[in-house]
Amino acid sequence: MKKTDTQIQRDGRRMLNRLLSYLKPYRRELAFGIFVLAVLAALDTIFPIMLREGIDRFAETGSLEGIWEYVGIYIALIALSTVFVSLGLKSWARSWGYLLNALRRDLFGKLECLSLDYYDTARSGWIIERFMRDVDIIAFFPTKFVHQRGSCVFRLVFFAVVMLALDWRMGLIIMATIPLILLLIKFFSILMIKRQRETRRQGSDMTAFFSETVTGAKNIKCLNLEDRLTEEFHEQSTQVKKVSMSLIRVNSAYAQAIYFMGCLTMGIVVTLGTSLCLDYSMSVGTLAAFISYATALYNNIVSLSAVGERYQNCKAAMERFFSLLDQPVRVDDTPEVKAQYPDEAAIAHLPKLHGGITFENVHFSYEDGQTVFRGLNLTIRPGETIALVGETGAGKTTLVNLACRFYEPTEGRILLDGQDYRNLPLRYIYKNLGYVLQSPHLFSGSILENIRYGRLDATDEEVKAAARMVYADAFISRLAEGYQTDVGEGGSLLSTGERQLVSFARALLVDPSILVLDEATASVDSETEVLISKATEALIEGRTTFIIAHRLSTARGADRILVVDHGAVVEDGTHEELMAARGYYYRLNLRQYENELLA
Amino acid sequence: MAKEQSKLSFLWRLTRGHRFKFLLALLFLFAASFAALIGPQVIRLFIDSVVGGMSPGLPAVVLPWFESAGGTEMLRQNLWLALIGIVAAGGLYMLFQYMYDVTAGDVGESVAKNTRESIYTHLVRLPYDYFVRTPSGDILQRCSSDIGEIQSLLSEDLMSIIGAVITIAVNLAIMIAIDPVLTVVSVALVPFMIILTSITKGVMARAFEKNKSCGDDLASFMHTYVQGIRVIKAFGRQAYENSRFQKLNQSLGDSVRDTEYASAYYWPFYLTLILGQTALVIIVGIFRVAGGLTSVGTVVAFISYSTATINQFRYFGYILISIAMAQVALGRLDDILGEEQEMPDGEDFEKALQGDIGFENVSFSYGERQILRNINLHVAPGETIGILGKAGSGKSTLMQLLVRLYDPTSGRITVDGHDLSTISRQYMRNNVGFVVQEPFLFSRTVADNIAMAQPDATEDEIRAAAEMASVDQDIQAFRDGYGTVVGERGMTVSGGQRQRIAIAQTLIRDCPILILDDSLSAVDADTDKRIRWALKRAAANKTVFVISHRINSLATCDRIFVLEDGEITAWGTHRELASREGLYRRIMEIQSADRDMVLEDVEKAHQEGGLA
Repeated sequence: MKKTDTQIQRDGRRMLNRLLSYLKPYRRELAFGIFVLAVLAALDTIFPIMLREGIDRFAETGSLEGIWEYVGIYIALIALSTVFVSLGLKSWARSWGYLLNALRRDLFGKLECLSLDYYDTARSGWIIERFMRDVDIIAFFPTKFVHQRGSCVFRLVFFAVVMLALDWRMGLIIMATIPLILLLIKFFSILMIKRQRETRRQGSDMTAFFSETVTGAKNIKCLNLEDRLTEEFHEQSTQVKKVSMSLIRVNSAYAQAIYFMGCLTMGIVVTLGTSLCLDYSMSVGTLAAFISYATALYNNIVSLSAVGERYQNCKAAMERFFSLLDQPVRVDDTPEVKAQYPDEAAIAHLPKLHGGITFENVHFSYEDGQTVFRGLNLTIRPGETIALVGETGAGKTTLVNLACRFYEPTEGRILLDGQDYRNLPLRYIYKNLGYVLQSPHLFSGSILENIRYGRLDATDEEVKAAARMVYADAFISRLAEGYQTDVGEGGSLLSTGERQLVSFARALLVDPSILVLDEATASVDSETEVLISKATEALIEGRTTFIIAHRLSTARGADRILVVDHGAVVEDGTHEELMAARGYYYRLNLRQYENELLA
Repeated sequence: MAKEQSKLSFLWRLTRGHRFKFLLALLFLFAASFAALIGPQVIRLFIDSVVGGMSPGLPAVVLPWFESAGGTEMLRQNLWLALIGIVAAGGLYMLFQYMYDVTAGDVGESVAKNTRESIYTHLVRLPYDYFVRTPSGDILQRCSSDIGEIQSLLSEDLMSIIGAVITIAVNLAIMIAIDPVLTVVSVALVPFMIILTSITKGVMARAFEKNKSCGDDLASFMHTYVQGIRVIKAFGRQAYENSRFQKLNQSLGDSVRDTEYASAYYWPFYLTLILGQTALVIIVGIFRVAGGLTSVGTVVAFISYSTATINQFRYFGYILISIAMAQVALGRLDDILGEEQEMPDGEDFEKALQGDIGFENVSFSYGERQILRNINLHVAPGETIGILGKAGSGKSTLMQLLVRLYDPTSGRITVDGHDLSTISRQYMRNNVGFVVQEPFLFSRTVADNIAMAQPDATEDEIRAAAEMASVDQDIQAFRDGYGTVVGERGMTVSGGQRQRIAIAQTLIRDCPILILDDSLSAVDADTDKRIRWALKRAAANKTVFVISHRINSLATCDRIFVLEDGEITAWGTHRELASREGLYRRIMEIQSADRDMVLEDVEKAHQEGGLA
């Protein structure tokens, strides 16, 4: 159902209210800040009156009587302005900083809770842009932006009142030009926004072009593409210039149009004003004041014209921000569980899991409706090693994620050591869990720190013992800095095989009751593969293990093999049993070395 | 000092072809500045003469014409002329200002265009080595934000400051001509503004620096957090990461607040000076009018002149920061330009390339590391050569020498009897189909990607190449088939599919020499075999190099070389190597042990039930 314009407006207003509610603790500060803006606007309104007095009382008469009081008042007004500006500044500054903090804190809290099924489908770049750029845009609007432009609103009102009071005819005429200029601004805004969007898009195209050239440098050279790409770049670059020029023209036309309106108004003021002066219905000083007001009025209107665009940007940013903030958390402890186990201490008393897992009539569907499992039943004994085999997308990873409670079943239940795992605190389950990813992710830091991530209070000795058990100590001791070697961003300074061994050690340190091994597919040479196989054996010893196998040789050694096909476990048994069954698993093995058989 | 000069001369070179336009822009600006001064004079005329009855202080050239038209009395009868006058003056200003904006903008944009085109043209021809040793983030930063800095410096800031100087000069000149004393008063507080700006510049700059670095820290923390969320959740590290987040978040919020606090030193006083300046003009003006030295109209005009002039000084503050940032950016861009391009050297062959290749005592070192040592081998045209080696053995480098991505440190490589270093790089790359290990797809359609190096390939040729690479069916299953956009900004394609598309990209070129660098690692054994069969047919008389881990892929080669730590430790046919001790046999045994186990079970299953 498409939203009507009023609905969209109401959404905008609702989001704005939500945003403003964040600032509740700073209510008083902001009220003071707004008061300051009003005072400054009032002071600004007085200055043209000072001009009037100065001209009428002294300049026109030629008498300087009372001039020093006049100067005194003027200085006082300036001093007051200065004082109020400094006072207001700090209030706005504090509320701006506070709002940024509050928004990011809430959003981070949400990111912490979001379950893995969200992260699996979301793009990290998108999330981070919301977090950094959108929060900046949102927080800026009700704080710094109001601070910058707020007094313009007050000035407009005060100017209008004073101008009408000084001479209602002149005042009225000047006010009458305002709607015209607003129309002008609106007309140009549409045009400018369009051009700006085009310019931005062209700009990002340019960046993408460079990025591709850098990433694909090897390919470009081997394919002799330098000349062709240079030509293409020149073409795109010319486009960029064209679009930028078009924006420049529009911007200038806008500025000149506004200037013209200003001249028009000024011309009217002077014409009418001199006429009134000649009639003695207006003093020269008043005319000078009106000239001053007219100029200032226009500047304020132009200043305020930026509000429309800013608000649009802010609204768009709020939409994205709140949509992320309101994202439902699919996997979370129930309120009862949260109440029962409020903190770490409560969980520490719980016994270590044995590792028995039971799936009872488990159904699972993704958010988008895609159904993966329908009525899955499975019993796994503590300490069993289960190999999951099947094609990509068959559901192996999903099954494991369900067992670990990274996802929760949409129907049915999963039991850990006989208890529905939804009655157990998440933290407790994860404490008993070890996970080795397909392409292991390390954090920048030393090898020691990375392994220790498994158990933050482990001693150096315990860390090294874990490394030894998984045969990682061999390569670590060959490195110049040994355990202190920096692994680089994401572990990039180590080879694939080395990264795997480190992540094995990390998982071992957890001493989990349930271990998940998502086997790497990256090609390493066969000798390294043997080492990793040995490490794997050491790792899975004595705990319930799920291996998402990509190599049939790995599956061979498991206690049980589950063949997953389109959301169902089609085969379940030992290697010998499944080979004898001559089903899917058997055919998989056959296909692998078919050509050898014929040869 | 020399570096400084070269930076400036680089900037100067970028403006080539646009210098005339630049002068034209300045001319327009002069005109606009003059035009801007007319309006207040009209106002003055009406206030002083029409209302005040004073003599019209018009310049001598205009006066007689004015008097003959009726003088001040005529104006009194036709007050609407004030409107005409102001609007006309405004119109003149608008015209010149628009012309200035467009002309100056053109200069700026043209220079910006020149800049990015020079950078790109240079960058794309840099030797492969540059891209290997420079982090890509670094290069991209230079190409996007550093170019952006230069662009905004040249197209905006530079014009702004020159514009400001001209406007100030014109304003002051006219103002002095009218009333020198008031002129001095009108800018009397400017020195204080400048002093205030320079004092607080340091404080503000530091606050902004801190803000930027806090922002960078938080962004990079979030990046790591989101990338590693699985590990964080799986290891239950939320509390730990949370406390780190709170600290970073607090710092960032505080730093924003502090940048505002820093301006508390500056902004109130700056405002005082601005207000004070206007007050000064008014008060001194009043004194002078009362003393008969000047007129009310002049004072009113000077209020507007003073404000207009002061506004221009604002630009000076920004420009210093801009220049500083642009200098840094220029330096960084200079780094790219300072790198030497891959210069075309050597000649092309007249005859077709046969594919006879020889390595004679070839060694290659990269910095301090020796990668290849005394490589000696000879390949006859049409042979298929396999290369086995562990990671880091130098096998990829060996092939990269062949396409002259690198040149050997010692020894020589011959192609059809000629020294490779005398053959042009372009020629070699045209004639060697190198399917690299990490295939890269451009953000274009699949068809464009396959035909990338062969732009006049027909649709049939593209499909034929795709079929040979065993990827035609996959592509047809894509949303838009061959028209599907892939690459960074398009559809994500699986590793195996990417490899096969890369193979198609190479096959379509029909090169006499082919290199497959571990190009079949992500495809299953079945597809591997299919592709190699297709290749065997298509590459019958081509020289082919196959680099692989899989003994199966290498077994069918005419000859195999084993590379260990940069040296060839063994060579021969599969049979010969299988019967000898060495790396080849060890790996073969591991791989066939796997295979034998499976075959055993399959055999057993057969026996128990007959072949299905």
